[in-house]
Amino acid sequence: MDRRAPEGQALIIPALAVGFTLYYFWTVQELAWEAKANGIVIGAILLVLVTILLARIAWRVAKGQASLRVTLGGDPATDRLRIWLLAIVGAFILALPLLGTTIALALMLFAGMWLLGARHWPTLLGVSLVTPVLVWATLIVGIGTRFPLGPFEHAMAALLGLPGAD
Amino acid sequence: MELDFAAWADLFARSFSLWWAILPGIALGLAVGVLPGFSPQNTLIILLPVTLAMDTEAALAFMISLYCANHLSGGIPAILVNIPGSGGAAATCIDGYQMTKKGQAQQALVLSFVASVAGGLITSVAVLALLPFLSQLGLVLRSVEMVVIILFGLTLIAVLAAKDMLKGLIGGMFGLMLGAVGTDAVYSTPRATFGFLELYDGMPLVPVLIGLFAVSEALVMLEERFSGKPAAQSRAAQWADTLDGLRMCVVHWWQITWTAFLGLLVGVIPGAGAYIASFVAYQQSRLFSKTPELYGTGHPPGVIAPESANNGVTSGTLVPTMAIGIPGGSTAAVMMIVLQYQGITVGPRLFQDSPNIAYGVFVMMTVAYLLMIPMILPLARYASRVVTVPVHIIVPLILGLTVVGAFADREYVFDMVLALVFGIIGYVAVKSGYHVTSILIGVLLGPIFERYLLRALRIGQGDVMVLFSSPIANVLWAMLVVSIALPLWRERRLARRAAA
Repeated sequence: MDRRAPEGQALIIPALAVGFTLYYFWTVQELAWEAKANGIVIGAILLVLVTILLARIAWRVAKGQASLRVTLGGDPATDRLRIWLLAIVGAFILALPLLGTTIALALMLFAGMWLLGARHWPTLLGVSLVTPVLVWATLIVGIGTRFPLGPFEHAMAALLGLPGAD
Repeated sequence: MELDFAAWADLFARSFSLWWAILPGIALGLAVGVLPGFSPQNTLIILLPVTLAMDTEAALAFMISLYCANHLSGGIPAILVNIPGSGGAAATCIDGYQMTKKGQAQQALVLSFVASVAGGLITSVAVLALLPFLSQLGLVLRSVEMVVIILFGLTLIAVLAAKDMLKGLIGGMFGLMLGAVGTDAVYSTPRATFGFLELYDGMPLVPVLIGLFAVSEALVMLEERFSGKPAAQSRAAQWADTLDGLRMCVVHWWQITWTAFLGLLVGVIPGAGAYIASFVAYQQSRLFSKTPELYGTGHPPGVIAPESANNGVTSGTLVPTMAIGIPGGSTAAVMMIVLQYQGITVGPRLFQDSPNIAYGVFVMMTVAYLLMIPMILPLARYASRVVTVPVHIIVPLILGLTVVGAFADREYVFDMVLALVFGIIGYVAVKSGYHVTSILIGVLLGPIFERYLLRALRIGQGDVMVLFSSPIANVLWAMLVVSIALPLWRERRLARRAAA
C-alpha cells in the first residue's frame, strides 16, 4: 500500500488559476496598459506563488514523502451521490424555463431528498411542496423578482388576479 | 466626522424603530445557528433576495441581528450534543458538553447565552466609543496605502484562515484574478469574459458567494454528516437551573469582560474570525486560571471564555469592513456585498459620506443585543428540545434555495450556472486545503484593488515605485513582509525542534 501522502489534488486549484491567468493574459495582450496593469501584476504574483508550490510538491515527491495521486477524500458511494445531486440541480436549472420556478423547485427538492434516502412521505411531500410555495409567495409575488414563470405561476396569477397571468 | 448627542440619540431611536427587522433577524439567527453547518453567511446568502429588496438600514438591521444571534446559538448544539453549530462554538464543546453530561445543560446554556450577549454588548459599545478615531482613517489613507492594505488584508487572511499559507495566498490571488474579469474602467474593453455578456460587468459577487460557500458546504455536508448524529434531547427544564446559571455569570463577570475584548481584538484582524477568537480565549482563560486542571471537566469559565470572545468578534469583524473596506470575515463580506448592491461603498470615505450607515451598524448591533436579552433566557429552558435537521432534508434545501437566490440578484439564469460552477470549485478548494474565504475576498476586493492600483500608478505616471513612496505604505509593506515571514520562521523552528 502506498503510504505517501497524496498531493495531486492540491494542484487542481493552481491549475485552474494558472489556466485562467494565461487566458486573461491572452485576452489583454493588445489592450492599453491601464486595462491590463492590474491583471498582469496579480497574475505575475500568482504564477510565482504557484511555481513555489510546484517546487515544494516536487521536493516532497522526490524525497518520497508525497505522491501525485489525486483524492478528495470521499468514498465512491458518496461521490456518486454528489454527482447525481449536482445533476439534479443542473436539471433544475434546465427545467426552469419550461416548468417555472415553483414546479421545478418542487421536483428538485423531491428528487434530492429521495436520492439522499428520505422515504418518509409526509416529510418528502411537505418539504418539496411547502418550500416552493413559500418561494413563490415571498420572492415572486411578494418581492416581485422576475423568476421564470410556468404553469403553476400562471394558474395562480389567473386564479388570484395577480400580474403575470398571460 | 464626529456625531453630537442629538445625532447619536437619533441613531438609537432609528435602530429601535427597526425592531420589526431586528426581532425576526434574532429569531431566525437563533433558530438556524443551532443547525450544524448553517453559518451566518450561509443563512444570509439564502435570504439575500429578501435583504436585497429591503431598504439599506432595514437590511443591515436584519443582517446584523441575525449575525449576532447566530453567533450566540452556535453554542447550543455544542453544549447539548457536542456538535458545534458554527466554528466559533467549537471550543464551547470542551466544557459545555461535559457540563451537560454532569446534568448541568441548562446552566451551561445560560452561561453561554449571558456571556455571548454581555460580550457582544461590551464590545459594540467599545467600538462606538472608538469610532471617532477610526473614522479619521479616511483622511490619511490614499490610493497607495489602500493598495498595500488590500494586499496586507489578503495576506493576513491567507495566514490565519488557511492552514497552509502558500495555498491561502494562491487562493487570494486566484480570487483577485477572477475579480479582474469584465470591461476595464478606462476603455471598456472586455477582459477574460469567455464571450459571456453576463460577465462584462465583472464577476457577479452573489453567485460566487453562493457557490463558494453554500453549494460547496452542501456537498461537504453530504460526506461528513451523512451518517447522522443523535438528536438533541431535553435534559433539564427547571427555572432554578436558569437562576443558577445567572449566578455563575455574575461570579465570572471579569472573565466575560476580558475575553470579550480579546474577541474584539481578534475580530479586527481580517480573516481571523470567531473560530480563532474562541480558541485563543479558551487557551488564555486556562493559562491565567488558578484552577487550570478543572478545564475540560465541565468548568463554567470554559464555556464563558469562548462564548464571550465568539460574540466579541461580531463587532470587531465589522471594524475593518466599515473603516477600511476590507471585510473582517465571510459574514462581513456578505454584508459588504449587500451594501454595494444598495450603492454604498464601504471604506475610509464611508464615515464622511454615509455616517448614518457607518455608525448605525454598531448602534444596530447594540440594540440587537439589548433586544436579545428577553428572548434568550426562556430559550435556555426549551432549547434542549431542539432536534438536528437530517442531512437528507438540509442538503437539497440549501442547494435549492441558494441556487434560486443566485438568480434573484441580477435575474440571469447564467448566474445559477455560475453558482454551480463556483460550488464545484469551492468543494475542490475545501477538500484540497484551499480556504474559500480567501478566494471570495479576492474576488470581492479585485475591482477595488484595480481602482486603487490604477489611481496610484497614474499619480506615479506609470512608475510602480509610487507604491513605496509613502511612509505609511512603507510601514504597511514591512508589516506585510513580517506577516509572511514570521509564520514561516516559526514553522521552521518547530520543525527543527521536532527533529532534534
